[in-house]
Amino acid sequence: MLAISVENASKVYRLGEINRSQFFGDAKRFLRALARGERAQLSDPGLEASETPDAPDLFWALRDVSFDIRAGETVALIGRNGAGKSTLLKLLSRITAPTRGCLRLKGRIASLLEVGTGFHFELTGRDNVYLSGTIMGMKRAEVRQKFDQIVDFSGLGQFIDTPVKRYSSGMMVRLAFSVAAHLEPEILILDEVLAVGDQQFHNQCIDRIHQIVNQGRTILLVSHSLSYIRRLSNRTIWLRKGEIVEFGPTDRVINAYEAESTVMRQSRRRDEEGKRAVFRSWRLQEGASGESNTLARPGIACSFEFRLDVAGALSGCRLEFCLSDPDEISVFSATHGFSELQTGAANLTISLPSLPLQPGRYRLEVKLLQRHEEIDHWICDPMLVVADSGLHSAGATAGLLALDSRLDVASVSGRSLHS
Amino acid sequence: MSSETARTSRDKIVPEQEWTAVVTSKKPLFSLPVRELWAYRDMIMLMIRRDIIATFKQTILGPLWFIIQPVISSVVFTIIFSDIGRIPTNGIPPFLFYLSGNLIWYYFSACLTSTSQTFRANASLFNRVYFPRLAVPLAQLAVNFWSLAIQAVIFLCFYVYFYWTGAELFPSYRIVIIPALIAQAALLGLGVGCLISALTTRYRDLQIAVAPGIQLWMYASCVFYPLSIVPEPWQSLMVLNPIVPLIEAFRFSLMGQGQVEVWQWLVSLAMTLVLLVVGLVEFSRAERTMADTI
Repeated sequence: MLAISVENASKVYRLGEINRSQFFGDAKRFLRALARGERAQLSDPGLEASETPDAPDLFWALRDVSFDIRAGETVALIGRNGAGKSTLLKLLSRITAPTRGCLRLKGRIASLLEVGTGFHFELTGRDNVYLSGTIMGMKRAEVRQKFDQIVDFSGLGQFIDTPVKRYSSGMMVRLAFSVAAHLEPEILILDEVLAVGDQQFHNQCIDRIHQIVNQGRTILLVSHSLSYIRRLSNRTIWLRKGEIVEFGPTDRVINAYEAESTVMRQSRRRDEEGKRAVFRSWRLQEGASGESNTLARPGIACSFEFRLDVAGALSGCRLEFCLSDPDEISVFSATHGFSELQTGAANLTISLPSLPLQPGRYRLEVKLLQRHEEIDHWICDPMLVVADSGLHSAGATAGLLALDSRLDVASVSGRSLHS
Repeated sequence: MSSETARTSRDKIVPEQEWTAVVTSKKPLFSLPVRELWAYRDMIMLMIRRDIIATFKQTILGPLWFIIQPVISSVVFTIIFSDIGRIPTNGIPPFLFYLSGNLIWYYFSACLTSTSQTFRANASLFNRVYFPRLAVPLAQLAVNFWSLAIQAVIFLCFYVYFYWTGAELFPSYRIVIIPALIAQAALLGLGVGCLISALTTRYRDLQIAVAPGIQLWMYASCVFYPLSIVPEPWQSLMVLNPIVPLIEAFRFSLMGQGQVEVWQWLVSLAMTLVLLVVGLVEFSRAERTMADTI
């Protein structure tokens, strides 16, 4: 059974302002229609789009997008800013209608992005929980049933009968998120989660989201964190300029998406001529030999070799090396000083005894400094790929590192100290 | 694998199954989302509650303001139009005459004003979550009805007082139509308000014109003069003002003074229905894309 079915959906916006000239356009159209005895129509982007689809003041935020999402699936939505993600979500959550096409939904749809929807400052926390809950589609009885849970989750039991205008902004957001987190819609939109509250509440939110995800709901996930998407979603939609580039298994789509970003970054690097030293390329040496950027055997020694073009001799140098996951969470970094670099080409090599990483893509970053002055800084292209060797580390379930772990169970005779 | 990539062909096959919502670009000319509104009844009740509570939070006099407003304006009318201007009130005590006019007029104009702000006042809410938008103006009618109820109690107090002190008031069985008059005032306000709120999503000029417009409309609405003293041709023209028969009928049924014929009321009723339908059509058209233009 499908939860969402989108058929040739398009959305057109008109750029620029609504102003007098448009009013006269409307008036003219209206009078002409009246003279012909037709039904008068105000100008709207949809009408203009059908008359002149390529007019320069029309912006196609989405163009002929079609896809199906099965009930219970977790699907991610990726794409650069302005690719049409938000527009698609707006259409799905029925905030605005498509210019063309059709969207079908099965079940209630709600979004965790709507934190604090319908809150009124003069009302108490209790009143706002009810109001906000019903605005987002719950029945009053449902809110009543979950009220204690919501208040517990927010941790604001003490203040629940205080007007929310006396709340701090943090308290407000906590209460708002707590309501949204207990909505239990059939289709949930998770957008760019979630800078909410302090660290403890943030963790609580993440836990809650995992709990919701595991309840078998249909979930539409929008995030710039690719590793997060890899972890949570089975299939991914990649949007570019309002059109679907690819919709398929998450790994395949994200790899293609990353490959495209790499191409873009390389083209930017060409402008960086005229420096005293520039990183040109890098390669990985694994064990005794090997020359690629794919790490196949994470357990054994490897080294990273960076090719550097030096335009003018340098002295008092330092190399900073940083390895991080796609969310830019640092896995390992090191810094090494060295005395000088001659004009010409040079290889700088960082060697590691082993690199026990989980399969995936990793970001390499190198920086060359001369006495605290930055000479060159390179986010390496291509990225480091740690291959899935098929050998799983014993016991490992998640995390960055691929380490073997072992569990020993020993029974202790006699009375247990822990009981 | 390629079968899973996006289909962009024009002839997509949509599986047969039940959907809870189908959103298309096609515009139904007129659809009243009765079932949806019913499903959101709890929200409507809570919105009414919110507005009633929030209006008078941190005020000392609270709901008394509902009373002060029409009473003061009736006192002012009494001084200006009756004592100074000498406009006759056909034997009804002037204060009661003005209070009765204000009662209906205030309800109508409050309904019109508050519903005409629907889209602008709720833009941020409408931009974030979907619910039947018509719930908001409907809730407004109920909120305003609450203030009407308070004002009606005060009106009744003055009415009984004047009756006891021997004023010539002739209540009749016709008071049974008063609920219908009030409902019509509400629907008229709703229709015009919805129309304005729909048009203001594109052109905000109208929003600014509402307050002076209502002021002018009041001068033409028999609030502080009886229809019977209006000379021709103005009197015939005033049939075109749908609120006039309501006020006149209200006075006639309660106090035995007023000039209204059944056909005049029917004209007013027809105009109310037309304005209501036009208002709702424009409203439902505007709600589909207001998020893009407001």
